[in-house]
Amino acid sequence: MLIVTKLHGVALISDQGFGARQVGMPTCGAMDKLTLRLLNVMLGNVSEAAAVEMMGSVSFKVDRPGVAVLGPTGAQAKLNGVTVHSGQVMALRVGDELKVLPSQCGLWSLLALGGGVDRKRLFGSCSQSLVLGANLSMTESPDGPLRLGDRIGVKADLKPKVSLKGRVSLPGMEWFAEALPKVFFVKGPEWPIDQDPFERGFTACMNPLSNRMGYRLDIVSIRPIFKAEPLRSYPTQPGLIQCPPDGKPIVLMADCQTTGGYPRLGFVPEAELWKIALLKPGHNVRFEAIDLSMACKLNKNMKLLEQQYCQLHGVC
Amino acid sequence: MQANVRILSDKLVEIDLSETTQSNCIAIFESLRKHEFYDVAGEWILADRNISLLLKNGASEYAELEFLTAQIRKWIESASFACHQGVFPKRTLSISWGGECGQDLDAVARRLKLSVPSLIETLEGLELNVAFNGFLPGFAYLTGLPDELKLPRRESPRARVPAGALAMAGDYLAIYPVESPGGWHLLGHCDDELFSLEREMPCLLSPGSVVTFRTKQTC
Repeated sequence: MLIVTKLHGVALISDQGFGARQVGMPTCGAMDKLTLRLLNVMLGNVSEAAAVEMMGSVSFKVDRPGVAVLGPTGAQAKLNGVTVHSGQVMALRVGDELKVLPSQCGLWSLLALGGGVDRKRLFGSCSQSLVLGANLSMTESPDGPLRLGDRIGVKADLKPKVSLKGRVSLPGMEWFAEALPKVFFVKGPEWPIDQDPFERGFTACMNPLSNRMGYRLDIVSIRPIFKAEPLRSYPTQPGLIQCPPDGKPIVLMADCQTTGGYPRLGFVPEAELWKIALLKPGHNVRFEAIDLSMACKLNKNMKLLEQQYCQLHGVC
Repeated sequence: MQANVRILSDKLVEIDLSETTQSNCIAIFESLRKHEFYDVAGEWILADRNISLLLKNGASEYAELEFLTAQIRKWIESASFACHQGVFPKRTLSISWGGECGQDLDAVARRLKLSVPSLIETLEGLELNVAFNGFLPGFAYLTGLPDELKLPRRESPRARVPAGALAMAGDYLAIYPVESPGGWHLLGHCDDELFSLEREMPCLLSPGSVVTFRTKQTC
């Protein structure tokens, strides 16, 4: 359906990720899995369908007609020179030129395609991986990233579930525009419980030395004294906030390793992970502690939002 | 068996097994993987004397997590875990000591107050066990290092450790299956493919496997 014609950045096929952490496979998949599910629902795809995930500017030529939609909030593109915004379903015709531009929010943009990207599955996922792709010499490897001239096929040609003239809002723009946006987290077992000023959280700035494995944070509030002694190895997961010896926390992201040994300051609940994916280097954010009951309520609200999207687009 | 089972996050339940041996942990891990807890979707993950259940989706109700935790605790306390009855696979890996993948060999020998040949001889004489897999696909944490050979991690990690590098740090030895950043001391190189989807079991070394080293060459 699409052929990669210009690549000033990185492009990958991403979905909800691999399910084989017990053999050391990182989850990988999209950095913002919630938005990917919502985009898929808008196109009438199954929510687990794979899409194209990009950082920087990537151009495509359309070689078969279809439909597509961009996300997360702040993502932008030009279709034959005309601006296209996130949440706006595009009809793609043979010969069209689609140029995805750097996102206004976050580092990574998603381009969901009607039918979902057609690619062989491995450990339950079609995802390509920057961590694994160039390294593992396997005949069916989760190779990646996409290269110039690569063709991206889709599973089926579908009619979009929303009007091509309309635009559906995706969550996040108001949050992103706040002077000090909040991300809720649950305190981890090594959180310094005896330090009252930090009882409710900390304020941090995303460090540019961040990647798909983890976003490094510089503390900008009064710096808590985190204990950084290594622990016995434990399983890790996207959303875990670790504290390495330099005292600068790392929020683990989609491509994170499967085990770790640094102290666990906290866990960003699943419903809050999309917010981390919207951060850019230099962006300040307040990490606010909540209890596990509240984290579950946030997850419940996220699932309700997904259900509303499904009902709106007649998918359920 | 008493078990400390605790909810760590909206999708992670941890079983702390620090009071038992890693081989018991492997037996419990294998049993848990076969048991279905109310069709809960998730992955059981074995690490260093702990086992975790990572749920596929974050829980929507705290009561769900409490119920699950109670069921796991009850099951562990009532079940009896026979240690692995069969014979764990034994692997002898050929190592090229030193070279690019073993650039810390001399420094490690000096810190341990050993000559390089006697360090190699000592490592060849060890019978190691795979405690668990993690970090990267096919990366196996090997235990059985005597206390006098244990060194802390390097002060600063390397940005690039080559694929196949045999390395040691803390209680463990391991071979990097793919190129990766790493803070362990590099001793040599292993040619074996540690992770392959063409095998029924993609990991060459799985928990419980017994591993020994044989010298291929010294660079």
